[in-house]
Amino acid sequence: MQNKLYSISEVAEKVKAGKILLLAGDEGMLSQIPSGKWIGGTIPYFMSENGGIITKDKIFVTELPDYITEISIKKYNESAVKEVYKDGQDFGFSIIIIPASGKVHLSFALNAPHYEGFATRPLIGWISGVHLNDLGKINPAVFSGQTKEKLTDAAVVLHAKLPKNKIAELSIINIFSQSDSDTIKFTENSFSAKEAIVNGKLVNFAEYVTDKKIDTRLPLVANYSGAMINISFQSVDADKKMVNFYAPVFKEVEYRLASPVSDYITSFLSEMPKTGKENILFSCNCILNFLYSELEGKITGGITGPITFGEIAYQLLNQTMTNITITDI
Amino acid sequence: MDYIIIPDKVWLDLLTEKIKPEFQSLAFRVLLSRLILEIKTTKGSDATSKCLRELKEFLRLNSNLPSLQKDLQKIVTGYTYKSSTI
Repeated sequence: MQNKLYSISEVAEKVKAGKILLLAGDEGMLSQIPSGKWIGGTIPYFMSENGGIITKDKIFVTELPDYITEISIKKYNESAVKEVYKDGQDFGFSIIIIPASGKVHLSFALNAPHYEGFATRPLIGWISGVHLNDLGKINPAVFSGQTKEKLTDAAVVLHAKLPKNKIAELSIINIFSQSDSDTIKFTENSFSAKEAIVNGKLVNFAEYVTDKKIDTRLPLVANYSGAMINISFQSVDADKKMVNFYAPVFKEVEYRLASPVSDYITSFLSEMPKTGKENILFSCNCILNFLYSELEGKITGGITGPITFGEIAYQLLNQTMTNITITDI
Repeated sequence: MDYIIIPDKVWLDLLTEKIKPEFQSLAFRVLLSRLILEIKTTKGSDATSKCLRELKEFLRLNSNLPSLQKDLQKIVTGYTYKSSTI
């Protein structure tokens, strides 16, 4: 089935029928879904089959295939989230949803690469959010469908076991690549930076960004053994001489500014896999891509999903489409 | 392709960046990056042994991944290694 937007009554029917669901939608909508085998997160931005859309009146549903019969749903607070990889099923996958800006979000972002079992099991997910007009007024949340709990500072995770003839694999589509510009390193692991080491020289990073007139819609990009990983700019505070990011920068990692992208859709379509899209179980893409590339009303190659405040493929990502596919072994 | 046939020397060369093939598997790439960084920034041979163990555990659980299968094939047949090494 195609993942898409449904009404409350349609989602409730699926829950009552015993389907295992991943849900994304407005808090008011998710609160009305009966208890069952589902997890959810708040967000009003989606890539639908008809293009990018903003709505609080529908819920985006990812329905897990019927051959998945063994799942567990767990919640993780700040101290427990380091167990997320250990709790995963061997030869399965896990889906995590974390509320934006809470302690679990920050802790996961900074520490996930050092969790026991990091990357040993597929972990995909997203950071839940709110309409940008509601920032500061409403807290992002996640839901455990089993208990119907609304959580604003804990992650919810669905661990799933796959049958022996199936395998899950994560992939990303990142249209940003490293430019040939300055090399940039930071002095600490943090969501913000005062200092940076640019081409080996210590500078104030806010002054560097301002003086160079850097387009902060383009992320910093690190090369992880060939995987391009973004760090998006959140703000440049000229008074505090501080730069804030949507994901932490890590010291010892070398970053470069991204090369400009003139046409997101064209670039995105050129990066998309030519085959196998029908095997994508779940996908999410970044709110910054949605805004900067004006994706409302535009279609991204038939891949649908929530538009999120951060994406997770083993670790926190920014401005990246993240997918999980299930294929036969 | 069974990862067991690849000797430890090859994995150690990967972890210490003596060889840098281009891989496909996202999981392999993000884990490898973390392990390479850990070895670079941690003194002593314990870090290398620990990272090698982590890498092997990853391979044990994930060697059936289609993209990782291609990566293992690349390690075995390509780059700086002759077939007699393996």
